[in-house]
Amino acid sequence: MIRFVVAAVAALLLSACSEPVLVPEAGPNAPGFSYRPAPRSPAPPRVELLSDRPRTSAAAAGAIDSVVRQKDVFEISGWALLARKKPRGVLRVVLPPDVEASVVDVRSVERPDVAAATSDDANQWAGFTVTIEGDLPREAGVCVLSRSSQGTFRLGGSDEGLCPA
Amino acid sequence: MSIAVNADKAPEAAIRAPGLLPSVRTARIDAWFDERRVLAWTALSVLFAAVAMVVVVPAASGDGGLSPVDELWYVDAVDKASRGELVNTGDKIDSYARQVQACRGVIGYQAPLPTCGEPQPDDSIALTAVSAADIHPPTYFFLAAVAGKVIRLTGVTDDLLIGARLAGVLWLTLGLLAMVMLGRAWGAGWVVPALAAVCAGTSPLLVSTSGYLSPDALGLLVGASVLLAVSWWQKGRLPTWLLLVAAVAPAYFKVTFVLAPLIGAFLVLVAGVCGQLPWRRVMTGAAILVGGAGAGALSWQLVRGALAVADPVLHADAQDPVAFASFAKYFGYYLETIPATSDAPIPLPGLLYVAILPFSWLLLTAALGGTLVRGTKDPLLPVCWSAVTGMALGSIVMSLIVLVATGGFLIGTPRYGIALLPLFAVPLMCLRHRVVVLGLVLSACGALLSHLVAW
Repeated sequence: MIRFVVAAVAALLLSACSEPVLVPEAGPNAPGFSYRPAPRSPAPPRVELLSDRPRTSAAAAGAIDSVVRQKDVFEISGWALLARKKPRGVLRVVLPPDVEASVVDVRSVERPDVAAATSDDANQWAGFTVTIEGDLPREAGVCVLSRSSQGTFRLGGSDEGLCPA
Repeated sequence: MSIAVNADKAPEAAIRAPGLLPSVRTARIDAWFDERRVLAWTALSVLFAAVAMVVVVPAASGDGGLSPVDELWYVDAVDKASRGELVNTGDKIDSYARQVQACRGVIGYQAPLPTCGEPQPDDSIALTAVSAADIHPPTYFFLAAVAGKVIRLTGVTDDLLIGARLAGVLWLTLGLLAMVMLGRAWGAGWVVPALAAVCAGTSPLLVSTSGYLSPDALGLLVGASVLLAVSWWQKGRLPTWLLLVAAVAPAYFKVTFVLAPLIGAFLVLVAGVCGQLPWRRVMTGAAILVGGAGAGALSWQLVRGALAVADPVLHADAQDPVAFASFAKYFGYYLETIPATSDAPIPLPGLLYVAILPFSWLLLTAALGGTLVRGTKDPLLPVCWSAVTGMALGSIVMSLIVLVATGGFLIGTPRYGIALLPLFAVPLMCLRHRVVVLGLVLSACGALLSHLVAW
């Protein structure tokens, strides 16, 4: 019995001093894992509001995901092909002629899905949310054009009456 | 009055079906082990530990994600328990569990995220990172934390998740031993209970509960222990106050385990109807088992409410309408607890489902057949009726309990019947026919082989 206990304790000590056998591949305690600070979002793109219909057409890229209307304010969310670093480019928001509006806030949004779909890490922060003060009628659409070092594009979901396809 | 069950005169003698011959070899091995009980229990412990390692280690140490059966909350609860903290209602998930989910993903639902290592904001976690582990008593989490710490001290791993998951080997081994002990309390030998336990332990459901963090990992052990207490009490070998302890305790492991004392009460009632127990003792036993189970569940809810720091978060799937059809669809639901399914997309070898089928059929046939052919003086008749009733109505009773306790309607899952699995197996464990032995050998070997090949 004493021999067994001595052998068991020795085995435990030896195994405890050796490298772990079962090591996780990912997560805390995995080789190479380290806690990192959250990445800072890059500067948002510049936003211009237009009420005149552009004359030239542009290739399609990006998308308007949603236009949320509230009282005296509306919010446009989507993604566009923008530059990775500042200056990131310009979003031209074309509104119906009778809508008086001004930009309140612009934010960059992380879009790993866009980076994965385009196989380009430069598009990790392709998302945007633009908050605009103004009364956008329920039936009215919007058009968004993006211009950056990646080119000039018309975002999917844009109203064809406001900018040519 | 007590009931004497003689293991030498196996209850299978009550079943004399043509073509179903008792296995003489099995009887000889049983007799040999009966004379060497210490050796028998030691051999069973080694066998079950080996089986448990085959089942648990690949799942516990694999590179895959967290189990979709709420393992995110459970790993956080074990992490908190390892620091001596309880999960109170309204508590947020801590950094370790958030990183584990981000870096490993969730099986079948979420791939590993590129933000692994970065802070994971509340809105990237289910229920805005509020833990739902508070719904369970902390017993399992503290046991897993302690066992996991011991495992980490041995140097096998230095990871909290893997260490706590590996404790599943211990829970499963103890559960299988308790299962055999339960079978033997009702007159079973050694070989058939051992084979039945191996089949149960290797079944898909047990992989999903023992290989990952889940309070259900203790289901076999708790269920078998409660029913063992009922059996001993019936035979006059257990004082009544210990039966009360056995009735109250399951709720402090997981509320769904209260099904074990409830089916124990049903068993005692059927024994009374069959004239195997005097009515006074029947009423005492049933009242203690039902009252104890209710008191356990109720007192846990009171403790939980006292510990709350915020209102509880309701499961989105707990809102089934309360109607006759909602209950009726759960009739016979715990038939699936018997081995055939795992209620989560856990990666399992396909052959396992085929291998375990003979075990399912034998389990069901032994219980159903027992209700048809056993006489009223046979002590196994109440067990067979209880097993069949548990399979048929267990999920409905569970839903009724949740309805009364919370006002919501629970989505039934076969996993919730895990504490009844030892009882379901007793009618089978008490048989010794050649067909039974052959079927169990096929199931056990097939299941073990499929686990080993997948490993």
